[in-house]
Amino acid sequence: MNTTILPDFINNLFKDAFTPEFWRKAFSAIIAAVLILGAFRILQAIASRTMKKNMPEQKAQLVKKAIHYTGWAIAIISVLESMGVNLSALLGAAGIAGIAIGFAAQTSVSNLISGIFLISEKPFQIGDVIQVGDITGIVMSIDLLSVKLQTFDNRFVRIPNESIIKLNVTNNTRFPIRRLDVWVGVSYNSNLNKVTEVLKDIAAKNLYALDNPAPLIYIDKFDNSSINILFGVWFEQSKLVDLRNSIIIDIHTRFAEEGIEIPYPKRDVYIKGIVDTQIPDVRKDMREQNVGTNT
Amino acid sequence: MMYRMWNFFEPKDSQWYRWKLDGASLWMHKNGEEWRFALNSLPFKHLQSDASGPEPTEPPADISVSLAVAAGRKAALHPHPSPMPYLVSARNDVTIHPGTEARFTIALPPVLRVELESGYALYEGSPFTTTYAWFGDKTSGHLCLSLPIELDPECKNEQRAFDSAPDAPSAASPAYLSMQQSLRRAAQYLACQSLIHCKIVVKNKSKEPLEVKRLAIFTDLMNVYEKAGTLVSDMVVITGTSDGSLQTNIDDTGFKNLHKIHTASKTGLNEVLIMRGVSFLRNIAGL
Repeated sequence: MNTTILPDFINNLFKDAFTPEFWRKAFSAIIAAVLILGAFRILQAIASRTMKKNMPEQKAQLVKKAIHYTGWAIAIISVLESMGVNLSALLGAAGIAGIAIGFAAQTSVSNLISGIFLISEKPFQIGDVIQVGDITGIVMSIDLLSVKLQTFDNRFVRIPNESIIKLNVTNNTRFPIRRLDVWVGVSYNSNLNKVTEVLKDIAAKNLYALDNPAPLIYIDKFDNSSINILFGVWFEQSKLVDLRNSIIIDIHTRFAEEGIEIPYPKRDVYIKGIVDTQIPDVRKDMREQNVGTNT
Repeated sequence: MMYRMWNFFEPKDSQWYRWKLDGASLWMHKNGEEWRFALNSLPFKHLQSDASGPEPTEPPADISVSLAVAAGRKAALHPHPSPMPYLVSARNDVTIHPGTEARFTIALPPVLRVELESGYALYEGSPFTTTYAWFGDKTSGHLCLSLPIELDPECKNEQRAFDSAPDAPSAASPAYLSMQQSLRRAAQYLACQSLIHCKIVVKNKSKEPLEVKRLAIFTDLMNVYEKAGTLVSDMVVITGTSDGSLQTNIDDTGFKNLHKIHTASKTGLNEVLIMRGVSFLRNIAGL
């Protein structure tokens, strides 16, 4: 076998293979690797127990992974050194390879750096409900490259950290209370004072609506078909669904009881030029019918 | 007899018993080791003074029944303060100037537990429903039971009859009628024997006037006693201190000879801090 084109250490490997010296080196290297990995495993367990009390979960996960990969790196380096590999040449080659990999792995590196920023900035934590774009879900984990969400219809979504850094992220559960805004349109014939009192009463009687902060009633504008009112009711985070369903039902029921109309969108249409020439018979018929009913 | 209401008694097997709780009702039935319970609750503002029991009665109709299995001969209905704080509002804002104090007496809706002599709770329920309120700011605070009770302070040298004030308005004025209605409602709550009567003292030892708009009553340190068939709790003493904070203490010296029904889960100083400029409340329990 022509071994002149191979690196020296490979040549030496073939020369020394199956000699007692070789087996002694290999055995030593394996023992060293096992001991190093074992030591780092113990270190990982100790760090995990300590960090459980003092550190947020995602940071603890990062530290555990760092210890794990460091242990493997040291074990591999010590095995290579034992086998006679020239690491300085290897490091040089690794530098060049690093540049090549860097170009190829731009996205991953960007995700990694974004992940570090996310963990240090803490816009959200594990267990929070966040909205990223059109995706809403519970944060399952914040990892080095991505954030994992569980949606409310039980789907798993992986969002790259780079995307999260670039987009607006809404944290729905950062604060303990929220306000539910319901837009209500009432007809132009409505007594707005009465509407306001009815809305206040609806909020006061709803079990999920908080008395304090007081509900917000904001008469917004005269719209095309209705007068628009913003009805904002505060609630404790866990009661969103209960409140939303009950308040809509309450508004619908009470408005019907009180005779407050929620108008459909409508247009008044005036047709020019047709009224006098084509409709007069209809008008006459209608007048005659009205006279008939009045008598 | 009213004293029986909160005492242990031995129910006969296969007999329903009922406690009347000022408009609400609680039923209990024992059959060997099987216990059945039913609760008819009502909104707090609709209660009416009428408390008695336990009395033998017919089974409840159209109410869901809960079951528990436990060995025991005697059971008692014991009231406890709600684990959630109570929030009451002052009528027309109350300003307490430095060096003075105001007293308030309120009635709190309890959480009721049917307990065996061993202390095991067979059933727990709230006879009175209330709405909720947030005590704090929008970033943090406490969820509280919102009580439709308007605080009316009792001050030193105050004469309680409204008409004895020299410049009292005429009996027909809206202010007079509103005041009388509020006093009547407050008296109605205090006449109810299934509510926990609680005295609150607010003292101003600071140099600035203390404005009392709402009071949150934390129940961690509160004991409950029975006094001639009425439920009473320790006095809550809230002191505005010179450094601008509010300190809450529980004064249990008045009721040491009474039969204690509920023992507070914590003891010691309960310090409530208010950060200036932000209505943020944090509850710290000391030693």
